[in-house]
Amino acid sequence: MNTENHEHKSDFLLEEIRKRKESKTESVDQASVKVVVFSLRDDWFAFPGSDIKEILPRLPVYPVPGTPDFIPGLINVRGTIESVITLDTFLGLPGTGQTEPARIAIAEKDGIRSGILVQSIEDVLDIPVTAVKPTLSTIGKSVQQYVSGEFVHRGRLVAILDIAKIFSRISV
Amino acid sequence: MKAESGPGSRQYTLEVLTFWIQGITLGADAAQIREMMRPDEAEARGLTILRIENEIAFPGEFKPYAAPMVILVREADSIGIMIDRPETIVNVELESIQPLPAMIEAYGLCKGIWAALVTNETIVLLIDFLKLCRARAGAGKDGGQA
Repeated sequence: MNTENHEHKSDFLLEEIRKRKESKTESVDQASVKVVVFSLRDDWFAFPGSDIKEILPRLPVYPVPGTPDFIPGLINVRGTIESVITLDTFLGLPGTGQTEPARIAIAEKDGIRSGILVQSIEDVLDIPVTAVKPTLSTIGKSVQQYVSGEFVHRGRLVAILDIAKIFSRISV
Repeated sequence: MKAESGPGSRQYTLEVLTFWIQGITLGADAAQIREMMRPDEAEARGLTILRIENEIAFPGEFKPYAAPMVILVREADSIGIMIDRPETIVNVELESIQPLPAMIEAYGLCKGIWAALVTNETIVLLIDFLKLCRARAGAGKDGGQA
């Protein structure tokens, strides 16, 4: 250990610790992606964190006539009117989980913005890019086309959804 | 629509009649309304009654009208639009009217619903009566095919 440039060994050690911490932080930043993990029926999904602007509690939904089942209507977010979609209906998810959605994630991608009803937010975390694997064929085809990858979190498979694809499909 | 001139930019206001259809609060430009009458009076006059829920799919089961009235729309004199529970006329500044979100727009615009506003913490969907009447008249000419 070369401590000759430092009067005290502790100074050297502290500098070394800081250097290592900085380099570790950099490596995590460069090779990780932030995701918002949420549950829908029996499954866990994630959105890229950069696409989620806000997480809200369940708000009153005002129906809009003439819209499909997966668009239950509009919400009033502090005076701003946002649409809201039910992802499980849109994706045609099977399952027995009948819990009412309790949260609304406000997502924005490619200039399109909407609330998305989810049952609960399970976690917000950084995952290493290397942990994201290609989509398994076990995921139903109706969902698979909107999945950009998947990873394992707390022992469960989490599918990362491509918000741009979902929004462009709905708003056509 | 009224324009109030002043030293700054012009302030546009819209008088909006709010009412209910199948439990949903809608609003229409009061300037489009020529007259409001009871349904029996509209029938006596021989008007074609347009029911909004027959033109646009409303969610849920049909709810009977509690206080129906018929609107006679300017420039569409032979058609009367049935509404439920006309409530109030509110003055709305143009700035407080919000376009429909992109997700809704494609489904709403073609049905006459063109924007929304928040009043008393409630979202009101704005519907264009004239557009609805003209769409109905066009559908009639095409043999009822919307």
